[in-house]
This record gives sequence, C-alpha cells and structure tokens, in this order.
Amino acid sequence: MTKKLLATLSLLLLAALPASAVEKKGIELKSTAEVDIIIKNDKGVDEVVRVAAADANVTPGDTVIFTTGYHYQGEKPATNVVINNPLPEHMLYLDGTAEGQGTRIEFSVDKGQTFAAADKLMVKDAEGKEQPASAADYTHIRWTIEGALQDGAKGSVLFKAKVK
Amino acid sequence: MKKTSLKALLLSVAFAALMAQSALAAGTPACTSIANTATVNFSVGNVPDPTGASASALPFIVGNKINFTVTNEDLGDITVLPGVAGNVINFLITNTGNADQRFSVTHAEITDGSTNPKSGSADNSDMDNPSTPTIMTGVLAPGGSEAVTIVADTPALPNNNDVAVYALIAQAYKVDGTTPEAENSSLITYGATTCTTDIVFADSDTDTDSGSARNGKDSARGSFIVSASATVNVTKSSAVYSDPINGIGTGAKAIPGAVVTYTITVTNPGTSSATVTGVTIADSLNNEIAVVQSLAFNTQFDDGADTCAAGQGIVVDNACLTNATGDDAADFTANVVNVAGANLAPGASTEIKFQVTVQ
Repeated sequence: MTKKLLATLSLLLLAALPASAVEKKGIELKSTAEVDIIIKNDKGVDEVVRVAAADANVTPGDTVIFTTGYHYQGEKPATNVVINNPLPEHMLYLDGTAEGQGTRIEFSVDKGQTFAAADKLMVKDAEGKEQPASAADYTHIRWTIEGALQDGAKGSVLFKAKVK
Repeated sequence: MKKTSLKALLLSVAFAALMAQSALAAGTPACTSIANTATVNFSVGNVPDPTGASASALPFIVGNKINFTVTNEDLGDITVLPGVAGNVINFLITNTGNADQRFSVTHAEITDGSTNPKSGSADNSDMDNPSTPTIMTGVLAPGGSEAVTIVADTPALPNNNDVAVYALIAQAYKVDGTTPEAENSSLITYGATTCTTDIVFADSDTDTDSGSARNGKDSARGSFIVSASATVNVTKSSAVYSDPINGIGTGAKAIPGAVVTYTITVTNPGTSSATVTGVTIADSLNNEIAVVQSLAFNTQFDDGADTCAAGQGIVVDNACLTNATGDDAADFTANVVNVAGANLAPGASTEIKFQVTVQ
C-alpha cells in the first residue's frame, strides 16, 4: 500500500514536471543587428570583428548582418516552423546572403502576401511586363525549417542588407 | 569593447559598397533609427500554436556620412583679356552625404607648374586679386548644390597664352557655419531632426589641393588663359594729293604722274575694355608695283602736313619713319608696307600714311 502510494506519487510528480515547463513552452527568438568592422589587434594586425550595429558607425552603404536565433522548448516536436522577417525600411537585401541550416528560404515581393524561391519570383516592370525579381524588390524573407524541432533544439538564420 | 575602438575602417566589402553608393543619391537620412523584427509561427501535433513569438534587434541609428563633390563647371580654360577685372571660374559644390551641411570655400594659387586636369593647361603665371566671393555656402540638404566662384583680375600687361591655375577647396562645416566637421560622435542636426550620432567622412578625393581622402575636404581646379586676340577695326582710304597738270589740291586727278596718299586707320573699338598690344599692319603693293606696274612707292613722304626727309616714306601718327628695316617700327620691304608694335588703348587709334605715284 505504501509502496503503491509512493509509486503513484512519483508518477504524479513525473507528470507534473512537463506541466511545470508550460511557462517556457514554445519558441524563443532572439534578434541581433551587427556589422563587421576592421580593428587593429594588440599585434597591430587588422582583424575583422563583428559588433552590435548600435555600438558601431553605421552609415549609408554599410552592410548590416541581421541574425535571428531560435530555441524551442516543448513536450512534443514543433513542426511547420516558419520565421518571417520583413526587410526593415531603408535596408536593401544583399542577394544570396540569406542562410539558415536545414531551412527553405523564400522571399516575398508583395509585402508578405506570397512567398517563393528567389529564382521563381516575378515583378511587373513599368510597362506591366513580368520580369524576374531582383534583390531590390524583396520585402520579406521567410525561413521554413525542414523537419520538426525537438525539445531544446536551437539554431539561427541570418541575412545581410545594406543601408540605403 | 569601448566605442572609441569601434571607430575603425569598415570591412572592405562594405567600404566598396559605400564608394558605389556615393555616386547615387544621398541615402538614408542621418538620425534614422533602424530596427529589425522577426516573427515565428509553428505547429505542435499538427495544431497551429497560437503563441508564436517575435523578437526585435536593438535598433541602430544611421550615422552622418559626410560626402560631397566639388566640380569645375567650365568647359576648359577661361579666356581673359589683358587688364580686365572680375574674371570668373565656376564651380559647383554638391552635398552627397545624408544630412544637412554647409561648406567653407577657399582658393589656392597653383605655383608648381601643374595643370588644370579639365583643360590640360599648365600653370605658368598668376592673376591679380584672386578671391572667392562665397566663403561659406548656405545649408545644403542631401543632394543639394550651390554654385561658387573664384574671381580674379588679369594683369595689365600679361603675355599671350599665360595660364593661371587655381584650386577651389571646400571643407564640410556644421549647419551653424562656424564649426568644421570632424569624425567623431556628436550632435548633428538634420532638418527638424537632432540626434547624437557618429560622423564619418566619405569624401574620396586624394588630390594635392585638398589632401587625403576622408578628411572632410574636397577640391577642383580651374584656370584662366590670357588671349590677346581682340577685334580691331581697320579702314583704308586714298586721296589724290597732286598730279602733274593740276598740281596739289582738290583738283588733282589720278592720272599718270599723280601722287596718291593712302591712309590706314587702326582702331581699338573699346568693347573689350582692354588694351590691344602688338598690332602689326602689312599692306602689300606687290601686285600694283610688280605685276600690273600701275603704281610706284614714294620713298619720301610729303602730303603738306607731314613733310619727311629722304628715305622716310611711311608716316605713323604724324611721325616720319624710314623705309629701312630694323631702325624703327616701319619699313618698306619687297613691295610691302609694314608697321609693327602699335599699342591701342580702348577707343584709341593709330594712323599710317604712305604715298604712291600713278604710272
């Protein structure tokens, strides 16, 4: 009887553990904006250092690296994970810079209404003719994580853009 | 990492992009805050999870990229006449940075014999009283420009084709017009916006007049070239002075043996307001004397007003000059009357007279 009660209690405790994780269930995102700068190290040699854009000199023409990190915590695997990043105003996406391991990268040229791979996107030119879109036409970037995220899975996606 | 240590060169890729940008519009205005926000959506057990999430990067402020150009707006050398004041070389200062800017304007006299790259002419002289009437431009918005000039006076007696090269040097100033810009983090004002941000020089010129690139100074050269070419008016008239039958007087006819006086008048009309120097007159009588043989040159001039000695057949401004070369400004050589070296102030004229005898 006592043994059975203890076993029941431990089962209850075990069952309670995931319940206590409810507060942190889900995907946590962390976004950064950084720039690469060259500084002289102690030996007087130029060294590339990546620093927060807010702490650096950023002027028109500079390249900014936008990184979004994700961290999933949840009892069951997360699927259909889609990270959507509208291009900030005044920024021009640099072609070919979006990356994210195990993700399908797509772009939008219509403010996020529709997404497609870079080589499938079309825009209308001044005469209304369909033309292949260029990086300058992109309004949104979307990363779709292929497969499921297990509890504790972490990763990051990034893209580079130039200050107009 | 201290912020000051971040004031370092941009990565070469970014810098190349920056250079390409400088040819375009001024770019994102200084003091603009840029944030980036990503959102995530997902499903758990094929059920869309309503929680989602979003995250924003710490916004950064777009700094003040100071960039501008100075260009010479002339087609080449500015042609100037001797003794003329107020000759002008034209320049344009254009703000290609991303905030309001003013520019101080100075000039430098080129003295090392180097050229104005626009015309290729090398400096070999100086003008008088060079100046820049504008010493501080107005407030130029991004993309805005202002015309400025170098003004100088031509010396009274320069040499023909003298070239004087000048550089116009512009330096970026804050909108207050009293503080020269420096690369640092400081308060800037852009239109109605004021923010404390980084100031970065992006001017790319490296010429000797304004120093190294990225120093907040830029320059361009222009030049003056002296040209003595000017319009003078020349008139020639003839009058029969005497003939063997009627003698001297109004009744004289152009019959064989008659003496005819030719008068050539050279006038500087004065429209150039410059003194015309080194005027040379050559009047050939070769056809009449040697070919048609209708005239003979009188080697001794006498029209009653000017009575010259033997061998003096040419009168310039009532002075008898010889027919020989090398002794004075006039000569009669190979059937050509030559008079050299006349200087004519604006409105002045010179009168040349000689006589022939009808054959």
